[in-house]
Amino acid sequence: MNNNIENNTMFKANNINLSYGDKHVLKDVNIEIYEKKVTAFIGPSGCGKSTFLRCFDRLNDLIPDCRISGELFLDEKNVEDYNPIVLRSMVGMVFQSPNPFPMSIFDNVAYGPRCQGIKNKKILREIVVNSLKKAALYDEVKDRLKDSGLSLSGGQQQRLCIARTIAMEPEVILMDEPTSALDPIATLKIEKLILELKKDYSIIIVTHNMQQATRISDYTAFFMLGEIIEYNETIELFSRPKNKKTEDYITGRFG
Amino acid sequence: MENRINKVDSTRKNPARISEKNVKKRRVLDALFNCVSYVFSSFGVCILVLIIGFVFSKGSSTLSWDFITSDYNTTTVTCSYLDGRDKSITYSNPNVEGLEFSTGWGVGFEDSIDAMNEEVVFVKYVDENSPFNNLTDTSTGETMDDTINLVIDSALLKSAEGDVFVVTGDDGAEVMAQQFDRGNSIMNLTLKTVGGGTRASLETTLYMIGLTLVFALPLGIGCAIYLHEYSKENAMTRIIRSLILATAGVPSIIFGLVGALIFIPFVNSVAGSNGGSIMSGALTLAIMLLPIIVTNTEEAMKTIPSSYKAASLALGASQTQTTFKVILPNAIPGILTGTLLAIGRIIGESAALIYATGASIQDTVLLNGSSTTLSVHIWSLMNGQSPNYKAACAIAIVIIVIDFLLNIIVKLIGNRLQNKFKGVKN
Repeated sequence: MNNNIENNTMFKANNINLSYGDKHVLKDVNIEIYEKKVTAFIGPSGCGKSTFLRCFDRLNDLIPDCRISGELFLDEKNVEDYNPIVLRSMVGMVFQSPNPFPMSIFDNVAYGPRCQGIKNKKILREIVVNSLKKAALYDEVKDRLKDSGLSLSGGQQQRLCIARTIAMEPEVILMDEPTSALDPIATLKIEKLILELKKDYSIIIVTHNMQQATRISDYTAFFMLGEIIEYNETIELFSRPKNKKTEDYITGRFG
Repeated sequence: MENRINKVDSTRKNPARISEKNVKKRRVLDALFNCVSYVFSSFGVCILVLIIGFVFSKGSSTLSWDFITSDYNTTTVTCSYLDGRDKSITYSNPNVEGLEFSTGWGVGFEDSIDAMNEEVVFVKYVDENSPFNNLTDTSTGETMDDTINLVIDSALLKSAEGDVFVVTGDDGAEVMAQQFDRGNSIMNLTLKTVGGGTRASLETTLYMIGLTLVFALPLGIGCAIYLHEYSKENAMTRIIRSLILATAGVPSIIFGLVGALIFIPFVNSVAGSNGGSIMSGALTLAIMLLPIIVTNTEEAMKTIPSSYKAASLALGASQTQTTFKVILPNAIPGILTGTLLAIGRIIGESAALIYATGASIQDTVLLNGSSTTLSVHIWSLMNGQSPNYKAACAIAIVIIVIDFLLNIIVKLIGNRLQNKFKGVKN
């Protein structure tokens, strides 16, 4: 991690501890996430990687008995000091299973900008078309923007959700296992899209698929039981894991 | 492992294993259960058919367009034709069955039963050249427009020889026609409208539905939004929720008392009415129907995937925006179901409205005036010394038809919305 001098830090986490009720989910997590890179979180189920992801846009605030301590900085400002609405427009989120709103494709993408008070139809249309193009979905849906978002296939729905996130022009896109509900072809499309998107956005992706992590990510963090066991450049982590646990996990001997 | 499999296979004593005997026994039991459910469900259907059939058979003879569109109270007109008719003209009989024709006057009479179940004589046919087209209304001095379908109360006739004689509705149509032929001029003719119509009650019912929903829907939906989106799960919320549920079980007559004691004075002081009114009735019903709307709306909100809410918030929408742009539109089918149930109860409610609105049948419908809904109309008809079953059943048919129509309309709207949400093209 010494060769990241040219990388700008996007997020910096200091001793994040998180618990749901009396269940201690995250233990002293420290990490630096770099700008315009793809960072993958891997680890066994229930290790807290999705929970940690939700810290970045403060979605954990919605869970009643969730307590967080420690500091998480976005652009050198503590996320707790942001207005959650502002924070969430800077940090987009793509969920595990595609969840477009039950409204038209156009309205789905225009939802975020509309909530920010953009009413001009011309501007909205521009945003929608650009976002759909960036999400590599425009050519498939350009004739049926008025159709329901739910009429699309699973992979298209997930790209619609990505387009919806891009429409807000975020700085970071969080992805929580975005391909776990998709078939291999749709998965491939999303992966291609992620590689395309990293030119403009910082991306943090939670994945169970280690091949996926190697294919698309620049950095990888290995989580286990709420701790970051190892965090390094993806190539380094997968070819020369420093920790025994990491090695066991990536070679499938874990368990 | 291998041993265990072999053991099971060889012994064949697994009780769950299907044997021929078991299959037979199960078949008999299945048949028994199926039989019971068929019998019970057909019993239910039979009762429903019987009720509707009874209502239709009793009420269909009274039910007519006039019954729905005419006034309840009768209006009486007195008129005369003193010029004396032209004796040389005889009008041709249209030969309609049941019509007793007076060839001298060109008027056909018919025996019939009015909405109050009494035997009366109607004017059923008037020849286009008949002097009946030139009757003079004695109170205004103007010529009467139309006498068809009016009831003849009594007539004072004068023959060519100068005899004056009376014929009344009790004489029947045949005598009426003969007597009119004897008469040369009409000194006094009392006509009256049939009466017993339900126009005002029908209008009141529609007003009551509309007004009650105007009060109850915003209140109920607002309450559901609070309970589902904003309230914290604590003792207070639980108390509110159980109170709302308890309200659903309170007998409607108690709401009627509340309406009479609270809403009538309130509406009287606000709208300047005197006694019960449609408004006080609607307020009472709105309170009564609140639980239905709250529970249905909340149930609908609970079924909305939490991922919609998370997605909306993750896109930088505020809690309020999420509620009104994502949660509420998706709850519309549930809200419609609640509305439909509420409408059903508004149409059917009588006990609460007897107190909160009043039970005397009126012909003028005013929001701050007392008039009856169809159900209370039935109650009033059946409440007197001589219950009028036929008219009551006729109104029952109207109620069933309205219920049926509203059901279809709301279902159609609901399906349309549901399809839109599910992404099926319209």
